[in-house]
Parts: sequence; structure tokens; C-alpha cells
Amino acid sequence: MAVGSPETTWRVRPRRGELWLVELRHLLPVPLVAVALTGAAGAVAALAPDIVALGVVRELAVMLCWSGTAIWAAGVLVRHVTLVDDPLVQLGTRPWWRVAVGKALMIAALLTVQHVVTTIAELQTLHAAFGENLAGAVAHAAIAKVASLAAYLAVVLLVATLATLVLGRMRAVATVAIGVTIVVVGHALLLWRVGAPDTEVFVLGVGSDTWTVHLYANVLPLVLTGPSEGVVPDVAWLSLGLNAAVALTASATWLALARGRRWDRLPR
Amino acid sequence: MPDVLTVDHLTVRLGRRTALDDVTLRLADRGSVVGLFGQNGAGKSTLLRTVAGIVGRYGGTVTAPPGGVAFLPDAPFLYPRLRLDASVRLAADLWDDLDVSHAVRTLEGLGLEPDLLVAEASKGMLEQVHLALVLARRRHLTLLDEPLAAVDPLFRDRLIGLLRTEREPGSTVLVSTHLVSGLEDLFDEVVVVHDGRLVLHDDVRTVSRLGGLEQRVKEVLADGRRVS
Repeated sequence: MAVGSPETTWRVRPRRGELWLVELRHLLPVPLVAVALTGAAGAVAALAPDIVALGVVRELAVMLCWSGTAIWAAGVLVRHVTLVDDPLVQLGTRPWWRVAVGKALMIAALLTVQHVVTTIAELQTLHAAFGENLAGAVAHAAIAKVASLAAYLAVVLLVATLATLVLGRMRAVATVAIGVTIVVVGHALLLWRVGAPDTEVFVLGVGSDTWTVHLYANVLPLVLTGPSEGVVPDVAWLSLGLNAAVALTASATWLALARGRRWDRLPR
Repeated sequence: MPDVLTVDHLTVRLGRRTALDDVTLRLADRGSVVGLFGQNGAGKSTLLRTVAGIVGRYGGTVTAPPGGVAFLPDAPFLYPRLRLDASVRLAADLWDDLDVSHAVRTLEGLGLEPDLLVAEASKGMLEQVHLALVLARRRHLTLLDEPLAAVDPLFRDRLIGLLRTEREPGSTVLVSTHLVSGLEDLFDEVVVVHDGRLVLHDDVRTVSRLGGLEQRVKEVLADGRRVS
């Protein structure tokens, strides 16, 4: 619909998905910066593989970018779910939880792009860990990370929703931070004690050595060094299964809670 | 005559504070403009937010028209970096019930340009845009939370004019305000809340006969007991 003179035309033809276009413009800058930094650091390190310092810089960039985007993603969901800081969306005819699902899916898509850029520089490492089975390596890299993102976002949604019962803005945010940290640390400890109890080299973060396997305890990256070349350790599949189980359980519980009772949607 | 809004024994606790205490209110479906008066913290906003479904945890029952109500909150809700026409598009995507043509006609009538950034609009202009969009939802019950606060007398008159001319014919509008003087002509009914309790619900003509709206509201607030 266009109303008015050519100079002052109201371009207001309703479009499906207008909210998501606006939301994408709003969300895009942070993952874009992370992708640019990770990609640039990876490219520089790949151009000069003999310079160890560049490899270290790349790993630092990956670690900082992922820490930053994980916290940013939680912040976006907490602002919508817990702090209710977007009255226009709250006044809409769509239920708040449906908007939260849309935001979480959009964040997951953006972080998956970030993961693809990060993984390109790690294909050599993955290839070593998975032997000649490069397809398996890529599948592991993709599925493990996507499952970890799903587990993380589902846990954030669940804890953020429960935190709306806590009075006060700062207390509610602290509740989310502490709650999500407890879940992630518990998840990592479980994975370690059950999946790799005798492994000494089971560390937080990322690594580019050969014969390392990247795992995820929820969103937390872990590196397992030590399995023989080409052997996929059982803990890799345990990590994947645990993340999938957490994602399914947390999202089902959250959906049941969000839809099954009345929640205050008051701005804090 | 059926009721457009029924609130029965509504109690809302926000933390340790009882924001609304056993409030019962019935608004008949006769297309009235109802003034909701009370001091700051009396419970006006909580009552409107509960009817709008924003407060979800409460005791008692609230029965609003099927399909919900249109609600204007007491804070800005448009995105500062969007143009006005983009804001209308976004509102149309979020509000299934928005009559876009109605909204655009109203905004054009107010002399607003489609390429005006929300962040560049004055407070008075923005209040007009907010009100125009909410009225364009054309609901049978519209709730307006302090639409006349913090705007100068010129914009206040414009907002009142907008409310008179652009609301859905036959619809009921519940307007919260802590301003009393000069608004007798706007309202058909008056509701007063004090300390979370409903202390007065009456016809404005009746109230006016008892010494005028402003005087009566002041008396009721000073007394603090339910009188009607």
C-alpha cells in the first residue's frame, strides 16, 4: 500500500516476517564482527603456518569471539524473556514464547555461520582426528556444535523464564547467569567423569594440535588430546548425545512451562 | 446491557506489595470513555496491565472482549531507529488487528511525514503516533495508560481530539490519568482507585452534580474509602 504524494509516500504494505527483518538488522552486527575477526585470524594463521604466535592469536580470537557471542546470545534472550524490554513486541498479538523461539532460531543460525567460519580453519585438525573419514569429521564438527548451541539456547530460555519469578532487574540477571553456569559446569563434569575418567588431557577451550577432538559440554568447548590417530573416541558421541538430550529436555520443559501457565510480562 | 469488561475480586501482588486489593469493576458496553483516576502508585497501571494480559499472576477473574484489547502503555514502544512508515509496517506484522489504512490516514491527518525517524520525533508527536496506532487496532475495548502525561497543553488537546475522532465507534476506552482538571467533557464515567482499592465508579454527570469532577475526585482520594 502506498498512500500520499510521491514525496511523502507511506510505504506500509504489510509484509510477512517484517519483525524478523528488523530483528535480523538488530542482531547481525555482533556475529558479523565475530565472524570477521575469526575469519581474519584464521586466514593470517593459514598463510603463515610456521609462525606459532599466529596460531596462538587465532585460538585466542576464536575463544574470545565465542565467549562474547555466547554471552551476547544469552543477553538477547534474557532481555526479551526476563527483562521484557521490548514493549512493541509484548503488545503484539503473538505469544511472547513464540517470539522467543524465533529469536533463538535466528541466533542459532547466526552462530552456526560463525561456527562454519571457525571450522574451516580446523579441518586439518579434524581430519587428523578422524583419519581418512573427512565426511565424518565435517559431520561431527557440524552436528556437535549445532547440538551444543541448541542445548545452550534451550537452557538459557528455561532459566531466563524461571528468573522472571525473581524480583529486581539485577537479581533476575544474576539468577540467569548463575543458573546457566551451574548447568554448564555440571554438564562438563558429568561428561568428564563418565566419558573420559582416565583422561588427563581434557581441557577447556580450543586446540589446534593434531589428534585432538573437539567436544562440547553444552556451549562450553572442550579439547580431548590423546586418542589414537583416526579413532573417534566414545566420549565424542557421548558429548553429542548429552547435548541432544539436554536440548530436548530443556526445550520441552520450557515450552510446557511457557504455554502452560500465566506469566507476568512486566518490563523491569 | 452486557459488560465489555468484568473484573471480579482482582488482587495483584507485586513482590511484597499489594498493588490491587479485591477490585471489582464492571464496565457496561455502551461506548463510554471512562476516566481512571488515582495518585501515583494507586494501582491504575497495574489494573490496565492486568486487563491487557501483561500481568499474568493474579487472584480473581478478568473477563475482557474475545480477541483481546488494545493497550497503550505509559512508555514509548516504537524503535528509535525506524522511520514512521517502517514502524507502521512492523506494527502491522505484530498486530493482526491493525487497520493500516486507518493508521496512515490518521498520521497523515496529523501532518506527520513517513520518513520521520522515531528518534527525531518530539515527545508530543510520538504520543500522537502511539495513540493513532493503538486506536487503529479498532478493538471493542481500548486501554490507555497516562496518554496525557508529560505533554504540553497544545499536544494534550490534539491527543484528546484524536481520541474523540479516531476511536472505533461504539467502543469503550478506559483512560488512566492523574490529571483531573479540564477533562470533564472527555469522560462519560469516572473510576477512582486509591491504595490498590477501587473507591469510586460513577457517571460523570452524577459526579458533576455533586460539586464537579475535580472536587469529587479530590474528596474521594482524601477520604480513601469506597463510596460507590
